[in-house]
Amino acid sequence: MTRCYLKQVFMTLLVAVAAMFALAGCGGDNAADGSSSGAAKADELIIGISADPSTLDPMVQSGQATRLIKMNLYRGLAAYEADGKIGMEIADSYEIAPDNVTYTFKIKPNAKFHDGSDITAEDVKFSMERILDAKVGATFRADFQKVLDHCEVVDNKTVKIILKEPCAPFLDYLTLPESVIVSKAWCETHNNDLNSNPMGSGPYKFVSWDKGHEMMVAAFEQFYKPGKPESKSIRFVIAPDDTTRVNALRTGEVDLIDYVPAKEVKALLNDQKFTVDISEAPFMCLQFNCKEGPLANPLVRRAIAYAVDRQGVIDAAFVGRGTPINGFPTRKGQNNYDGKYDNYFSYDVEKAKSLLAEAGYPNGFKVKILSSSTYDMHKQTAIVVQDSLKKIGIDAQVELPDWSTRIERSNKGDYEIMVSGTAGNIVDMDWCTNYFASGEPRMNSSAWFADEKVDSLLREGRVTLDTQKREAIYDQLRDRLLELSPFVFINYREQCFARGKYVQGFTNMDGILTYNSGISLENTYAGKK
Amino acid sequence: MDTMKQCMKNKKFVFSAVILIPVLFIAVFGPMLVPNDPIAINPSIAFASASSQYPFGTDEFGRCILSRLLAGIRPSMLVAFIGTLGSFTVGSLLGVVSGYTGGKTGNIIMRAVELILCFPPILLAMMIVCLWGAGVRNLVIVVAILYTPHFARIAYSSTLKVRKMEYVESEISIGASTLRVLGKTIFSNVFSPLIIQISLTISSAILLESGLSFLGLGVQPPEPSLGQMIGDARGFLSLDVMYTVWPSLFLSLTILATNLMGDALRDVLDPKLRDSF
Repeated sequence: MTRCYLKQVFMTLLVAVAAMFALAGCGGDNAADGSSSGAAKADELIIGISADPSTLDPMVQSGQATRLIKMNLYRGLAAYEADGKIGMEIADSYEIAPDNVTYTFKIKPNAKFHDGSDITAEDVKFSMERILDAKVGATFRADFQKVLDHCEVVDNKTVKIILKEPCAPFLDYLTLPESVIVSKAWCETHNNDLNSNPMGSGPYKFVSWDKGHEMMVAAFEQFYKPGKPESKSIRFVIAPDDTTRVNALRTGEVDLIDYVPAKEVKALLNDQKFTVDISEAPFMCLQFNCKEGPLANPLVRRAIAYAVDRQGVIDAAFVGRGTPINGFPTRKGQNNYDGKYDNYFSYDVEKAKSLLAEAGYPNGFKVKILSSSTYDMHKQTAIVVQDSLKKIGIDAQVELPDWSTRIERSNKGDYEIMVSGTAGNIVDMDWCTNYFASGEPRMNSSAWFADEKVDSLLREGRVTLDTQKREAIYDQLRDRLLELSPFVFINYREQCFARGKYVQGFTNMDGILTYNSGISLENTYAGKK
Repeated sequence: MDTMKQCMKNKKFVFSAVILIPVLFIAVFGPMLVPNDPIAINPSIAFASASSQYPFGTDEFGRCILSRLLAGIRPSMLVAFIGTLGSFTVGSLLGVVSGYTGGKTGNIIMRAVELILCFPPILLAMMIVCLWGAGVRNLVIVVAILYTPHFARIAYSSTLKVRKMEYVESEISIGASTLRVLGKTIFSNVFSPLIIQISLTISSAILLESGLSFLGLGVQPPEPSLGQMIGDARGFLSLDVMYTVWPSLFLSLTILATNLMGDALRDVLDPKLRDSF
């Protein structure tokens, strides 16, 4: 029997070793191709991204990783360029009529879609209407609905966008990666399904998508910016696992990665072979379902704001890299904010308990925290928050689905407390509208939060064109939002990209714009390794 | 007992007992033995090196790794034992019933039960977890479902065999209650294979629970589980290797011991083998 046993073990080992070699052989391409040793510029840029897009429909926001891809396939009338300033993309120029509601855009004469058709005023009108179309489910539909009245086609290359009332940040909204222009003819012949049939006007055109594995895009020869894009093609390798993605960069399998986890940043900074692009702008926060129960009570939410151990989150989830937010996430100096609310909250367990008692929950309550197992920082933030809540008597259970499920649930408002990492969407303070205005649940808002004062301040800030008046309005807004705490803000974190030193032209844009960094991929190429 | 003496002589049995007895002890008394609170968070001392207060250091949340190891064995053992008990009970019952009924009906019941065997275990487990959520309770159900066919088969074949035995027929014909006779005979026949199957199932269940916890589908934070700790530690290999090594070591030893125990029991109890040496 012993001899039999040994023989069995030996055979198993043999088979295992053979299987290993077989698997290694069919394991996918090595990075051997991609850069010829003598050339100055590689044809293909390989990027490791942290998530497989849940949809390629450009008007639906599904995460920063997806935006990196989208900004190559699609462009809008204008965009925040790599230098941080608004530049014209599909539009050549624009002017605002003295009535402050009529925007006339002239489209670039050489602007074309990937299928070779010209971009016309009809396409712009169609795209604006598509954002408003309930069936499409555009992330910024509510915002555009409030502001946009209608579009008029003046001639083939001139379009008028007329607003319901003056809107100071309207151009900002047009720069969103979700406000891009799509082809009317294409959508009409493809059942309006841009997820299965992506086609835009960006520097790269869609080639193929092997879901869960990789996506290929190839340079669009007729892109309206001469000389761009720099690389002939980009291969997006989908690597949701943090360790795998960083290792892929280390071994040279990929040239650039997004979402470098905090624990790897220090090691990569010290490594001569790599460059780390850091931008401290996104912030971690908690969103609440304000429909019913204890979380509908602002006192409870403020109690949580006092209870969360912000430094604990920074230490556990970000290896000490980050800054706590005890007030509102506008940095001093940004939007002319002077920092008056920066110490609104503090870490005060006793105060939290007394607020909870005042709200009628002296013995706490049970609650669920939605986070995700895909991003370690989200999971770890949830665990620290869970522990913080325990200290004030709230018994929290952590839910950790994968990122796509987590996004779906956030879009529907299917959560009690939810951990979120975001950065506002536009530089103008009006980013608050998408986040704090009342209305249907959407990804960036606390489901079912509604406050008349907040709504009226948001509206006032939007229609007022005088800068100083706007600053005063937004200060009042910050005060009101901290008082009601539909969000509990935790900390700023770093948003890092890392690339081999041979990769040139990439910019991790500053502040909120870090999520728009995909635009710099038109300038990015892999040089000599 | 004769069997016990045989067991003590078997080297595999002794080796695995030496490992398993402390493991079971920790599983039962673990939470009382811990030097620190396994779920107390203290991020300012994250990744502290080994000290008298934290014999194995701390993890990314500043939690004591040793305490989490000791507390983390319990969920694996719970899932393994209770789950196995469940599959043993349901499986044996189904097996005996279909064996006793016999004929086509018995066959149909058995084939239906064996459908479960068509599913790759991890896949079935993930399906159930996705539908009903993670956590120890659902994992116990998963294990119970997955291993029912194994027990059912053993009970079924033994029952079929026994029903036809002359000894049984003659006992029944002289007036002994059918149930009692069948019961006694079946029991003495299935006892050994079932014991072996139990220990093999326990070992597979530990591995399954660890695998699921590693993927984030098993024991949910902040409660520790060995598989979960390995999953968490994976991202920190560059910062602290031992954080990954300790739970892996514990887990490997436990699974090795249960496996060897199953082997040892098969050596001792399997009547076919007993006479061949």
